[in-house]
Amino acid sequence: MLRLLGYALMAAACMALLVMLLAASSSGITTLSSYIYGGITLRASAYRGQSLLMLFEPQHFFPAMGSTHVEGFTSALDVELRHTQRVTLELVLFSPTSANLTQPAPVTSVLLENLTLRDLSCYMFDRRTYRSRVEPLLDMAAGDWFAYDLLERALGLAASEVKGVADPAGGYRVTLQVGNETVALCALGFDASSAHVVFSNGTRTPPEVFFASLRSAAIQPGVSRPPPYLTLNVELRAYLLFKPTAMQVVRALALLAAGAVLVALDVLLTGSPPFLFLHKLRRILRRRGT
Amino acid sequence: MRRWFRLRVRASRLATYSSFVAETLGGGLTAAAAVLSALAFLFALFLAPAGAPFSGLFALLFLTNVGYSAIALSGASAMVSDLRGSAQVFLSQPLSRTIYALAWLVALLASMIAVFSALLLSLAVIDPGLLGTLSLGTALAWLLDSALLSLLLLAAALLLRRTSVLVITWAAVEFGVSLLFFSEQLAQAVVVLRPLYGVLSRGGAVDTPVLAGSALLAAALLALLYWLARARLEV
Repeated sequence: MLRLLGYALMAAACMALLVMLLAASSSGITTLSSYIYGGITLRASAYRGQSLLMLFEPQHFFPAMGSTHVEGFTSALDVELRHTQRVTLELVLFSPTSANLTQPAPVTSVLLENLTLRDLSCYMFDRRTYRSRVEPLLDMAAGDWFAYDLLERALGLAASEVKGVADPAGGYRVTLQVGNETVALCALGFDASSAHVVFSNGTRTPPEVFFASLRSAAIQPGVSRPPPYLTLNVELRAYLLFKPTAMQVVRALALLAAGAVLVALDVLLTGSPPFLFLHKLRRILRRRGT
Repeated sequence: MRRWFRLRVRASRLATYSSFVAETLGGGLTAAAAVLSALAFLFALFLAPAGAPFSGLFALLFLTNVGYSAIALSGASAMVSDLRGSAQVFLSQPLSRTIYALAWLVALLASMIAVFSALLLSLAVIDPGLLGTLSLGTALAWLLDSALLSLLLLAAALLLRRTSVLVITWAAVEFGVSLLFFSEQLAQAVVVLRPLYGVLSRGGAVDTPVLAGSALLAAALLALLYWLARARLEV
């Protein structure tokens, strides 16, 4: 009976060592992953000159991300933005007249066509810095499409910046390693110089006119909830990356040794051959051989 | 003194014969337990870090439980084959009928303990802190659940001696009873037979009276197995 336990422990240890060897020889093993594809909620957005800057928090879509405390595991996030020219914004059209104040604000979608994606960058912040210094700036900028400077100031507080790599198809891709105390904020930069703005009722307008009207009393996006919602070809993939630590390897070796000791003990006590359980396999092989 | 000597001889025979069952007669119990233990590490690696508070651990316990149930079915089927074949040889002296039946049970329970130990130690290899997420009650529920299935399958093997009936019994316990957990009232009626499902369906909360009921049921099934061994294994 001891050898049954011994072989079970040895099998688990061998599997552990094999997986650890594979993980150590590559850039790690991906264990859990979840995807989001399509639309994302923006944290803040701003327009200046011909440029459109849109910020989103990728961790907002994966609340459990960065919360793992298991040894050897780190949270990673792939942000992939496909080549996109059309962006749909869900905006709240809000006229602050006395009559409308009591009524719910109507939501409309605005299609921005012929946009050019210029860059994708992700910024990493320490959680405490983010809460105390970045979030207040983002909240101030949330309802103001001309608060470009505020957003730039917020991004300037980042501990590190990861630039997206352009792919031949015209998209961008970036991989982030997110720790327990890290907050990521990604920024999409668009060139809106040749964009067209199309309202859901079919009305077309040049971008500068649209953004100028955003400042007027007629349209004030982000004044009330929901915040601007962006539909574009973005793919977010969060996963756990396993890279073995030295202690894990030591523990796996100890498990292997414990199993081997149990098997050896059983062999010594019973005197039966150690691989007796393979006799059926051997018999089948012998039959096939003859 | 004589009684002690007799008990020692019986225990020695039980150990020897159950080893023989595990390694040769039992349809590859040792090999199957080793394979499942290796898989348990993979399950642990991929599932243990998942979710809060520990939904990954639930999936891990469920998968290893299902894996062990397949081993128990294969072991009980091997017992049916043995009863139809060479068992008569072993059931002549000095192996008694009860020791014969108990040896199969010991072999199955040993493979169950081996799989569960490998699971626990796999968690310890990944991160010893993971062991803290598994409560004693949940561990007991896993062990009782698997032991009840083993006892039930061996009792069915002794009573009916047909592999097809064993498969039906296994499917009824493994899937039929599990389906009853969708109804709250029916679940209360069958939770004693599947204490692990009871724990999983309650989000990890352990119901001590249910565990006590399962232990009593296991004792009753053991008594039934003993009686069946004496009544049905004539040489």
